[in-house]
Amino acid sequence: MSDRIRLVVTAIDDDVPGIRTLTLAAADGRVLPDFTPGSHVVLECDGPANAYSLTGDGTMPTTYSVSVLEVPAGAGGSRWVHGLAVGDPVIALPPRSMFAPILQGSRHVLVAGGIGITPILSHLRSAVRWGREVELLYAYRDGRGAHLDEVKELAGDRARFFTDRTSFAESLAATLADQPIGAHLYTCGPAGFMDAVVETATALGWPPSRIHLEHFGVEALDPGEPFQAVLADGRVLDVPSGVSLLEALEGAGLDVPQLCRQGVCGECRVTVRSGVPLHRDLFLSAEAKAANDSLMCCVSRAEGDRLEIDL
Amino acid sequence: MSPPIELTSVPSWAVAPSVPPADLTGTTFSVFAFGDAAEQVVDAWVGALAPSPVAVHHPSGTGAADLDADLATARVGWRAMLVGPLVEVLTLRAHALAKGLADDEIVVATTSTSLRPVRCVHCAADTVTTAGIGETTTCVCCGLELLVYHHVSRLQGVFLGFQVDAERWEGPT
Ligand code: FES
Ligand SMILES: [Zn+2]
Repeated sequence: MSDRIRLVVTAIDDDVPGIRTLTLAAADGRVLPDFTPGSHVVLECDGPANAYSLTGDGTMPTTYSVSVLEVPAGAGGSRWVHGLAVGDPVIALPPRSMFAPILQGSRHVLVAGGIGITPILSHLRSAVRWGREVELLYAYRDGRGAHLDEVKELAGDRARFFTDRTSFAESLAATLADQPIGAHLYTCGPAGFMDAVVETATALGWPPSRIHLEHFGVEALDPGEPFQAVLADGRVLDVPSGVSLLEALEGAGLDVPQLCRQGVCGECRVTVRSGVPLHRDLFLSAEAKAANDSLMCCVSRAEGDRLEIDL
Repeated sequence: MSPPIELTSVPSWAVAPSVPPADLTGTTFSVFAFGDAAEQVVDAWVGALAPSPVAVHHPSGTGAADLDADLATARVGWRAMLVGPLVEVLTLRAHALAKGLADDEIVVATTSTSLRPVRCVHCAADTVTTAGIGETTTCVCCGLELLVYHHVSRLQGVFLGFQVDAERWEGPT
């Protein structure tokens, strides 16, 4: 298990309806671990843990700040955040980076949709601090724009704001059509929003290596195909469609470490002895996935009908 | 024994002549063509990309100056397409990568792979040789007998060669 960071809520900002910004400091008052812009932390909630983007620039942070959209129908993490009070303890896993800026990029085009502004704000702060060339397009629903004032102050006229789809789509296309070679595009927002951004970029000739996405939250996963898991002691477990490998293992009485049950925290990693995993998590790097020697058993399944695991 | 070529840093077009199709995902294009044998490929690419405009260069030197000139005004969506003998395209690809172009913005076709550039790891001189991967050649500078190793330096555009050692004939792994 990773080292936990003990935090305490030091401030709460509820200015934007439905979005809560938490400021968290180390319970012992110390400087917190640095992080790469665009990183997220996993917070232990009262239900399954959730991952949230850090909005700071990551250099010698004394606080971590996250902004959380209230999703009344969500799994409960957002409701838990919205129920916190100043002084409450919060346990976090160390920050992880899956959405880092490409430092040799000659220009950084940031595109945020709604609450997807959170990792983008971290990129913006870092770009401004270190003098990287940056430009931001931020689309949000009228009255629901988080961090508007900070973005304006940081970016000045390098930021543009949109509350209607048409003008956003036009500006996005115009912006992406005219970037110097060496530019990189970073986008975060709802899945449909990011799909549209990627589609626009691709149509304008952007190669995949210049497009960077941060998937926040977890899209509903399909129930998956049934398969069998072979345990180290030779037992064979059936993992039916709609049941996760983690659930099947728990059903067989195994005690598997887990925290988020949605593929973001990294606790439930299981070693694969044979068979090919079908990776569906947001935790493992592309290289780790390609190695096919482990999987996150809470969301990932088998490519074939059998997976031998080291448990 | 050498590992399978697809597991090494040696692109397949550096082993045998190969001509990929034009990259239709781009929006603007420059072609850098070396040698007469490249003309056929240029025509095929230009035809496939029509009606998109394609700037075709026939560099007299390495092509670096032509590439830099296009790069200066290029927007994301631009593709550099290189065609010619291995030594020329490896050199220009290395330059393009050094200038910040990404692998998915560069298309490389080889019209011949019989000559390859090998950098001596002992004296840093480059020898152009007909020796294939796993064969040996003599360094033009220090005279050591070099094994052409199955590694291409992307940013130098050369194969690596190191002294054949009777004890370790298989080389570093
Ligand atoms: S429990 Fe968090 S990744 Fe599986
Ligand atoms: Zn030498």
